[in-house]
Amino acid sequence: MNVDDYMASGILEMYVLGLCSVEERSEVDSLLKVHPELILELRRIEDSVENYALSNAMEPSASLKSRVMSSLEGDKGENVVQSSPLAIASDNSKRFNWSYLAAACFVLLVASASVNVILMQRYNNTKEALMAIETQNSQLAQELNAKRASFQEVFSALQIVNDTSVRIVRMKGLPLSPQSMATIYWNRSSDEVYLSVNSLPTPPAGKQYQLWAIVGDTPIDAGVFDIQNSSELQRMKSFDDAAAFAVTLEPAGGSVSPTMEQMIVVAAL
Amino acid sequence: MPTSNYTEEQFILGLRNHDREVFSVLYDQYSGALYGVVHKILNNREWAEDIIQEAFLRIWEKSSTYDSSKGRLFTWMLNIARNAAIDALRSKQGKWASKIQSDADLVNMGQSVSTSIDGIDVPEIVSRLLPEQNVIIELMYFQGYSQDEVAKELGIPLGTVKTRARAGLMRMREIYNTKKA
Repeated sequence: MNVDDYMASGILEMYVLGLCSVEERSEVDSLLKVHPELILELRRIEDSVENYALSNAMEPSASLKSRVMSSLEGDKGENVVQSSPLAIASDNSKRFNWSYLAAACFVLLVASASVNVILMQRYNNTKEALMAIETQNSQLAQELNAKRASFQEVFSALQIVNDTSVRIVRMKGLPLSPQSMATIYWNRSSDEVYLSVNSLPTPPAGKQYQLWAIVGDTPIDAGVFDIQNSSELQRMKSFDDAAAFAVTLEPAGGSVSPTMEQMIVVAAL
Repeated sequence: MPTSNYTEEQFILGLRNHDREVFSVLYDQYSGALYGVVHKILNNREWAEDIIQEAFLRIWEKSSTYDSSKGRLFTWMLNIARNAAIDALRSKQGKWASKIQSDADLVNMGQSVSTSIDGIDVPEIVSRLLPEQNVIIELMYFQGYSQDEVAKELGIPLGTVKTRARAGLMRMREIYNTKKA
């Protein structure tokens, strides 16, 4: 390293003024140990900084010196602070020692505060536990309602199916879809017609299944249905007379007359 | 400026022994120089006096940490006082406020540099430094910016900050060396 170049770089000035980064500072520190001429240069810089500070000096107010000097009196200051409460205590000891009462009050206060903290913690714990149980409780109530609703559905379906007036009509798959099947529960006294989908292919988009009752020779619309809730009984239109039931695939919303080529299942009575 | 017959070694020894008489002389000799710098940083007499008090207390309490191999006693004292002032400035202003302040100062500084050419009420040193160097020294020494922060503040590369700061300090030094001689 060229010492002259280093001195000319101005880094020593930065060092003296405390403006170096940590890395630069430790670099200078270690170079100072091996290059004595850098120390001489450092002294010259310090002289000029001191010159700068002295020629820009300002007088602080005169009272500042006594403030500074008295702030140094650490030892004496502490003695003064310590001695005064002792003096007061001995003066008052003949009459009544308020400091004992104060101490007792303080102990009680601390004890009471501790108990409060413990009780508060217990209260918080209990509150949290209660909230957890309440949440659980409302979840259980929701589950119970859902179960009750689905039980109600199954129970009413069972009632419909078990009615002594019911005639069960199984509609079997045609060559278009041989595996398909749907069942009609036809109450002969009330004329109500219920449909249960046993197995039907999912209809393509824009299409819907439609039930027909063939009365005499004429197919009559008995309503369209979806197969999403296949386990449910779907109430269709009522009939007091029919020679056959059939299901066709129709444009969504149903047709006025059945598309015969798209007949999926059928049952003749 | 009061002067005394104490040498630097005697000051150092007196400080180490917590000698109040020596400390009193030290105060007389250097409080004005330290106060000038601290006042320039804080720009408020009462605040600067509080910080000077704090600095002298620290000088008294930390005297055992002074290492004469790393520099002169005055340099050490000046750095204690300056650091105390910069800390006070930063904690009072907060980062944002100090940024706004420094922007305002930069604007003002540009004005003061131009007026200084006419020789009106501006320290000689300012008029004799190049403005761009002066701004950097102002930010670093009197506002406590790091070199990185100066680079960000002025939008110039870190290398340029270093070069200009050092050039400014070298020039400042020339001026004060001449003055002494």
